[in-house]
Amino acid sequence: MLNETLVQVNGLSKQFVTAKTFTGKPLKKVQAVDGVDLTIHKGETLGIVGESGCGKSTLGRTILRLIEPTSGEVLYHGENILGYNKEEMRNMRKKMQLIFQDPYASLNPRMTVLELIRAPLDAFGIGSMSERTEMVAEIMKLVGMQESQMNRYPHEFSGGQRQRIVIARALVLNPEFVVCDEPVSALDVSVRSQVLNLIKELQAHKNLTYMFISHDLSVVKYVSDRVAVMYLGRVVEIAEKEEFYAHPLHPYTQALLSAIPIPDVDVTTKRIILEGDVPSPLNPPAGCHFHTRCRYATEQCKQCRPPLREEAPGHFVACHLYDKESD
Amino acid sequence: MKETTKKDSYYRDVLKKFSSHKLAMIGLCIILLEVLVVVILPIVMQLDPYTSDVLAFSAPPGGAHILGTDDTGRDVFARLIYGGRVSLLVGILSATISLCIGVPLGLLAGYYKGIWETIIMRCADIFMSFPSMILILVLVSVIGPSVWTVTLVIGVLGWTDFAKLIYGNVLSIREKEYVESAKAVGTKDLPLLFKYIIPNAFAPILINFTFRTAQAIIQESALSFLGMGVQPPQASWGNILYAAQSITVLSSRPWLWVPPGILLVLTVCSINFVGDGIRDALDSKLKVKK
Repeated sequence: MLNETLVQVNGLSKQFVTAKTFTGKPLKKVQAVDGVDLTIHKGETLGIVGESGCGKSTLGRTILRLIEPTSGEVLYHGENILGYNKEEMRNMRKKMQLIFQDPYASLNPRMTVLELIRAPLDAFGIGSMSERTEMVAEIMKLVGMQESQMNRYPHEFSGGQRQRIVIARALVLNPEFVVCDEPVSALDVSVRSQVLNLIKELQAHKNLTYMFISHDLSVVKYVSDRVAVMYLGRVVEIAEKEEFYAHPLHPYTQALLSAIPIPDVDVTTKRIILEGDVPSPLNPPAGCHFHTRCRYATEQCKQCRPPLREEAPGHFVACHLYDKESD
Repeated sequence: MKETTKKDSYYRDVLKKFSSHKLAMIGLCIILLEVLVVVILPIVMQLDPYTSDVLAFSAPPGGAHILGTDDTGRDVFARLIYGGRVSLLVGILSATISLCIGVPLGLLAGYYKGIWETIIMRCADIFMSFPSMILILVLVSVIGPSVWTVTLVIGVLGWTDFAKLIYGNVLSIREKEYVESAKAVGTKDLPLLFKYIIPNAFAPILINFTFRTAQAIIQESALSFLGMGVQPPQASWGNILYAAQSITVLSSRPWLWVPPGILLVLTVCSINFVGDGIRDALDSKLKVKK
């Protein structure tokens, strides 16, 4: 894997104001993304896993600036895209795209497949109308659809087919970087693998860089080169896939991995059962967010936030357990 | 597999679905028939709604006067046709005025929010908190009653319906994932508005347009009935009814009030049926009946 950095995220945060006082001052805030640092290399797939509500999707959308971040920076090829104005950002969308989670909600019901997939070409005025139609036909073939389905409406298709339309739309501009926001979690198990394979094939074919968001560890294991774990808006661990599944360092990651069922009756796994629920992001615990459920929690964990540190080459973890060793 | 271009096929689908909606087709036929009759008959038959027939005051239907005459000897049929002209004109024109004011304002408020939302929607609230009939009465009496002022006043005061409706729709549609997806592929504001938001927000507007037309026809007749609308000798269905208020007319000369009443009900119903038909036709999830 080439180690050229494509996307670098520094201290990215997003707060949502959920309640305002009468005068309009924020009263309640949800810290959906809380100081995330990430690096995505060109050509790789970075998997992002975490429970629902941990800020995975918000992270993906803030990187693409579909949601304006509160603070931090997103460097794309070394340039901070958060400083771009509306038109500059619009032009960036040729290079960075999003594959949506729900193929039922993300396709305009009033447009035909042709219009849907052509929309990015229309937006940037690429080619003549007949050239655009040709490009649409080409990408449709690539995602495994027939050209003859062009004039149909999305409601005439199954979930898997619709997701192919969504993928075709995201890739028709030949982007470099694609955020896949749980692209298979709305699909039937039977078509999941088809769509996953399609996503992988297209990566090789078009030389894409993916940020693959999922809550499904086995899906992430299948598609990713590196994996990052999020918990309550923070990244707690990042590592190469093999290292990640073999030597998880963060207690939360260990608990997550122990929950993967192994399809073998003779293997008994030691499941780490986490006590309690994820704390509300409205009122996250101080210090390490995980300390309320962590078996190893100390006084220090309750007070100061552990930084994300490199424990092994390429293996980052945010946990006070590993403080002493690095001192 | 159809080899049509996408635009054609969409409208063809809509048309096909609309034409398979029986009530809507009947309604449309009635309205078209009315429009034709109202436009053509006066020219062809040389109807005269103004001159009194001195030989026949309050004559029952039959003979020279198909629907009889009123108490000043004017031909009821001729007045009905001329009245229809006025009523339909007021209805459609004032609904169009309401639409032209309300829809852009509602879009602006719903899509850009912020200061637009505050100004426009609070204005709508203020407009809606007035009893509209009284406001119309006052305005009409200030400007002076005529077909055009009635149309204008009903039209302008009707904008809140459209604005509120499209505002609410746009608010929900702008949060839809397909709108976000359009932004994610770099669609600009205007195409976003016209290709994603308006098509998805417009079905209720069309339905409301038909409903509003019906309402305006009724409002005009109510105004005329109160003597503040279309002024005699010019006829409208409302002021024909207004002229038929006395108990003797109601009980012994039904030809003076039954025909305009029936026409009014028929027209309003037909327009509403057409609205229903349009709604069903624009819903792309409903299958085309073969």
